[in-house]
Formats: sequence, structure tokens, C-alpha cells
Amino acid sequence: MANLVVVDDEPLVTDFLKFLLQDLGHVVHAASNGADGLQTIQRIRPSLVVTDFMMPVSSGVDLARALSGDDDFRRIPIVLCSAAPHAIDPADRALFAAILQKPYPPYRLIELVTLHVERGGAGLRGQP
Amino acid sequence: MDKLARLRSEVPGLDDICDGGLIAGSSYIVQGRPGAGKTILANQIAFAQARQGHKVLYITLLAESHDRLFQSLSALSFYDASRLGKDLTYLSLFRTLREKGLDALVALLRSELARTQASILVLDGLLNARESSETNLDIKTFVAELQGHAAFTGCTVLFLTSARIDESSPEHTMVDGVLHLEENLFGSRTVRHIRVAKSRGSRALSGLHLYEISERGIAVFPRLEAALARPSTQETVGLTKVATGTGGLDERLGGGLPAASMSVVVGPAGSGKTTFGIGYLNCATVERPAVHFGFYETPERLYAKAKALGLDLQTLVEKKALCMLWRPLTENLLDKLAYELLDAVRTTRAERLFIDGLAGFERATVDPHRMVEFFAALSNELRAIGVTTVCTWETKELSGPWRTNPSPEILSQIDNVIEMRHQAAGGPLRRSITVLKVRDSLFDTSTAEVQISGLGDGLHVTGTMSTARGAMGDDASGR
Repeated sequence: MANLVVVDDEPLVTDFLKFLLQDLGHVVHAASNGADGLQTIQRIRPSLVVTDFMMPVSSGVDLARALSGDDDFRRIPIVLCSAAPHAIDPADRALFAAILQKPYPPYRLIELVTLHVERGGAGLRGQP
Repeated sequence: MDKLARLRSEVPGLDDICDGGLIAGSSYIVQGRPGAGKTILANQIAFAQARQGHKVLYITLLAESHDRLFQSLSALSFYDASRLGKDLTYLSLFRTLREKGLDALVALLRSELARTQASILVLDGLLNARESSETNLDIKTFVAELQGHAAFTGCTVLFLTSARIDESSPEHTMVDGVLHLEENLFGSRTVRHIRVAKSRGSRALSGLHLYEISERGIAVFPRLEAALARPSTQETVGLTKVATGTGGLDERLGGGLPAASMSVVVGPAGSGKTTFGIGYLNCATVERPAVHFGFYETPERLYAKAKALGLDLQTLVEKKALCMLWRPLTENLLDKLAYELLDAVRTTRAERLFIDGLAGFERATVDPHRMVEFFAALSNELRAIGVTTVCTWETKELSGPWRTNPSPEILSQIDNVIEMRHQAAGGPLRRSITVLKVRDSLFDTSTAEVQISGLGDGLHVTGTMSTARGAMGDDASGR
């Protein structure tokens, strides 16, 4: 069991992710944009973050940049899920433990969450 | 007066009904029931704007997911996933609206517009905004604030709603324009119409315009009689004559058909109208090409029919002297047919056109009251372009009087009328042609007997039918 944060502006997505990941025994906290997500992460200190890319206030990339600049949080693996993964600057791709193109099969996300949570989230940044 | 800056929507026909396009920095309501195509229309405009180098902010206030939206858009040719997140930003503010209300929504929209530097904002789900407002005043304030901000920054706003917004509603009174999309049943077919219900500062084309949704997105076909209320160019009236292709007929017409005129060949099935047309098209050359616009025979069947007459239409097509357009009499959109026809004539610079037959247009329409005005616009434009047109009109009776059949309002717009008949009673089948009317020209009023010849000219006049009136039934002249 781990603490997870899911960030997406679409309530349908966060509702689904909560259902999916709670079912695996995790505690899931939701946020609706990058800024909101950052606050939640700082409060919860999760083992893993699942975030959308296009969001109001600040994007998934903005969120990942903010976390990578903070020694306390830079080791948290971030899975980016986006309908527009090609819009992400190649230089920013290394911010994520994995990038999934929406729509993705739920088992792919489950595999990634299981993998990264079990590894403890250490030293994974930049791996595909 | 300064000319207003307008958006190029790249939605075929839309800019034409909006007096040149949506006005940049203005706000519009796009309304219509679910399935009418509001989302497709807005996205088609959005992607066009992105291709033109503008930034787009697309906000959904619906509980529907963006994945589903992208999935359905991906079937459409204008959709380009590589632009998502770069030129087009899709955000859901459903939660902001639901949890924090309209004031928070406006504040967030303002900052998102600034952040994305968008010059077009689409707000999908105005109905939801309306539901969460306490009073009409709230929604009025919301629209006013957003509109004010957008106008100030030069951003064009599209509010999409499936709500029935009447003319007295605050949204309707405040926005600069309203596009209404509707889908209706006519008998067993569904027909879509778009109407510019409001257009501040623009002379939009009024009334209902047909539109279709295909894999290319939405295409609007401006009502022909409104779009071409006057022909696109000025008609030049000359004295040139155009050969009919029927041997011996041109002499009877006073030298041929007047150039850039509209003729109709009337007669029952089997009287030789299509054969007449094959002879007419056979006169086409690479320098003076022709267009065939038919509802009945496929090009292949016409090639075969021509071959049996000793004529080779297929080679004319291969040489680009002839363009064949076949529109089966299934479900057609009246104005779409007209635009396809005009487009073919314009692009090929055709000098002769054969339409087989006028009834195909009548069958396509869901509003028969339009036909006279529609035909006036079409025939005026064809004359102005300078193409010499021959149409067929099939009479219901196999023989007998036809004068009550084509409507007098349409007949009066036709320059030349040629009647074809056949009769088998009391002997071998006899075919006849009578010239009933030729514009500004003297012509032979006697009835000519014609045969389908193997002489390489389709139909051929063999002589005057002295007893034609008696032999061919009712007196067509009415006397």
C-alpha cells in the first residue's frame, strides 16, 4: 500500500484513477491542476504521481519541473498521461518515469505503478 | 468604413453565409441539439486557426472526457494530433464551475487566455454554466465579463450550447452572432440546416442553408438563390450559335442554339433525349470542352450507348474534352448538386453542358417551393459563365400533352424549348423533334422526323413530318 497523487483537470479521469488504484490497495489523493497538484504532493509526500499534461493554471510539465527543482521531491516517480505526448519537449521527457498516451489500457498504468512503487521510487528518473 | 478583420474558418461555405467570416474579437453562440455537429464545427474552425498560426483555447464544461472527444475527432481529416498541447490547449473547467461557480470560472478563463495567448476561445457547454447560475443576471454577467475580456484582447469566442436559446435570452442579446444548427426529418430522410440567427455588423445570408458532415468535417452549401441572387459575373449576349450535334437540326434552329443559353429537351421516356445529349456532348473538343451532369446512366452505360451510335465519348473524356459527373438519384442535397455542377463547369471552362435531367434537382430538394428561385439562380449563373446548357425534362405521359408538366415559372426561364416524341401505333416507331421556342431567333416551326442514325451523329433529321400533328397525338402548341 502506498500514497499516490493523481492530477487531472477532468473529474472523470481522477474518479476513474481513484477507483482503479484504490482497488490495488493504495491511498489515492486527487488534484485538478498542476499548482493544486504541487500543494497536494508537498502535503502528502506520495510514492508516485500520475499526472495529465494539458491542465489549467499549470501543466503536468510545469509540475514535474517544480518537483525536480526540489531536493525533497525530485525522487518521486511521475507518470505522465496525455493525449498529446508529442507536444512535450524532448528535454522535458527525462522528468518522467514513463509517458503514456491517452487513451491507454488500464493494465499498463497498473504495471507502471506496481513497478515504480515497489522499487521505492529511487533513482528512476529518466528511465523509459 | 474600416473593413472588419475576419477569421478564415476553412469550413466550406461557412464564411460565405457569414458575410466573409466570423469577426475577429467577437463572440458567437453555436447552438444545436446533441448530434447537430457543434463540436465538429468548433474544432474544425479551431484546427484551421491553429494551421494559420493562431493559438486556441478549448474549454469544456461538460462531464465528457477529452479522450472521447479526440477519439471521435480522429476520424475527421482536419484533426491533427501533433498540434495538441502546442497550438491547441484543451482544458476541463467542469470542476471549477461546479465547485467554485461562475466568478471563479471567469477569473480562471482570464488567466488561461493570458497563459496560452489564445486568439480563439471555445467554451463547450454554456448550458452547464447556465445551470449553475442562480439567476439570468449571473449568466449575463458571466458572458459580459468574458466577452469584454476577449474583445479587449482580440480573442474570438465561440459558446457552444445544446440549450434552446431564444431571442430574448440574455446570452442571445449579448453576443455578436448566433449560428443555429438543426437536423430535421423530411419523410424518412434526415436533413441538416444551418442558420445565422444573429449577426451584428454583418450582412449574413439569411435563411436555412444545407450542410453535411463527412470525414472532412462540416461543409455548408449556401442557399443558391441567396448566394447567387445576382450572377457572379455579367452576362455577355452574343450572336454566336452552338451546334446541337443532331444532323439537320441546326438549320431548323436558325443556325444552332444561341451561345450561353438554356435549352430544354422535353419528351417522354424513350423519345431520344439522352441520345440527343450524347450527340450534343460529342461536339466537344479539347479547346471547347463539355460537361455531362446526369442522374440516370452511369458514365460506363453512356459510353456503351454512344458506342452503339458510332460515337466515342470515352476518348473525349480521356482527352479532357469531356467531364462526366454522375449523381445517382439517391439522397442528394440540392445546393451541393448545384455547386458541384458550377464548379465542374468553371474548372473545366466548359462551353457546353448537358444536364440529364432537371427532375434530379427536384427530387433532391426537401422544399419544392424553392425550385423556381433555385433554377433562376442556377440558369442565370450558367448563362453568365457563358456555357451553353441543354437540360432534359421527362414528361409523365408517354404521349399526349406535356404543357402542364414542367412548371410555367421554370419554362419561362428557359430560352429554347425542343420537344421530342415517339409513336408506334399503326406502323413502325417514328420519332419527331419540334422546335417550340428559340431565344431571339427565327426557327422552323414544322415537326421534323428524326432517326437514330449510325452516321456518327446520334440523331439525324430525315425530313418534315407532314402529318405529324395528327400522327403524334395532341397538338403541342395548344392550338
